[in-house]
Amino acid sequence: MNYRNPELQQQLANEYVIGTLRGPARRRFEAIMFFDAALRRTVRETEAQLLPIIYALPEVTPPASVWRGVSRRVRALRPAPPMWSWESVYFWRLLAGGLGLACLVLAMTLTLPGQPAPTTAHMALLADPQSHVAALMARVAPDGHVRIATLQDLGERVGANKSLELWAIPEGGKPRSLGVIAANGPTDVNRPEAMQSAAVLAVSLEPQGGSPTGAPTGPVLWVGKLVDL
Amino acid sequence: MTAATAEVLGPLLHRCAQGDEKALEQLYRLTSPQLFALVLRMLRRRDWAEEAMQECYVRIWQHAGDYSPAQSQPLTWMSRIVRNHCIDWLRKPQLEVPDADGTIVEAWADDAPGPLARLAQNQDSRRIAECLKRLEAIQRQVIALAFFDDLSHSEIAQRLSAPLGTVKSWCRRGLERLKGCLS
Repeated sequence: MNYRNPELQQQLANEYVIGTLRGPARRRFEAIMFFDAALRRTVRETEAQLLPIIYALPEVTPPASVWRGVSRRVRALRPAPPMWSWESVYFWRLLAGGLGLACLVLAMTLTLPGQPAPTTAHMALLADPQSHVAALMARVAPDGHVRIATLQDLGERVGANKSLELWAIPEGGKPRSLGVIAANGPTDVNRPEAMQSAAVLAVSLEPQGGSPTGAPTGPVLWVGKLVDL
Repeated sequence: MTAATAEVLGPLLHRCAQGDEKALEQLYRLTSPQLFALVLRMLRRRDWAEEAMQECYVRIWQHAGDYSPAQSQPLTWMSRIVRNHCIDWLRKPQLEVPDADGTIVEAWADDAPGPLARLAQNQDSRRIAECLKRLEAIQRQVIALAFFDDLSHSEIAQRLSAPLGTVKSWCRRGLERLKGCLS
């Protein structure tokens, strides 16, 4: 299918917004939208025109328990004081690695201000190391913000009680966790400190909620080298 | 509640991006009745809808910094998050989704006062109400079944006892006409 055809793009955008674009076709469309600003604009315009249709539904006030749940979840997300949490994560992770005192020195060097800010955007196509079939696409903004999207629903590969965890691996270094990602659709990750001098992105299969140790514990399912954009 | 305007919701989203939990509460009070109606309609189960609503508002909170007033109206942006979340929810494997209640077909017929009248009352949706009125009733019904009940072309065909190809063409032509009228 030629996604460059504007009429087809509009038709697909209509079906995407109204919901009849489904399954693999929807995922493919989202992956293309992820990298195609013009298509994204077409979809946004279509949404702006069509989504007000939601006003056709009579309002329903949700029970008070819903707001309490939102509020509780949002409070749980409150960041700890940044220096402390950052240092403690590093401290314990490296201590567990058995690096001892040297790590403290390293942790202190890493907290020193004035590290050069990266200036280029990167991308990676993450593929199965054996079959070389690509399964995810990632884009890293110059500020280290990562957006990764699956090219198809990976739910079956993940299975119940498992999660996919994304890792940034520096040249010759240890994997640094970028957190658990969705098995279907895009995930945004904002951990620029973990992206520092990353050369490779990898996704491993972990227990639900992510690796309990801070290092990959399950098989690495997809790997991709970061390339300059 | 009449629809809260972009002038009110936009700054609230901006404050959410800065970590202001009070702003989130106000945003929730102003938008949750409309969005809960959508989630409830799409997911069809109250317990799912309540859980999904919480996840959606946490997501709105986490992504408030991505909201750009130049690109979309606040409620459009929020309903996109909610809709995509519901669509993902319904696509979970091994999920037994109850049947849609089927009230949409009648409600969106020509002379029904319900949905079109409600759309026409609201400033943001008056235009889409006018444009929907110009469609054939069957095109409007197909669009509503797809949007609110999240039915596929073949599910719509079954429900309306119509051939699949015909349903696809109702849907596509209806959307084209609707878009043409809105542009």
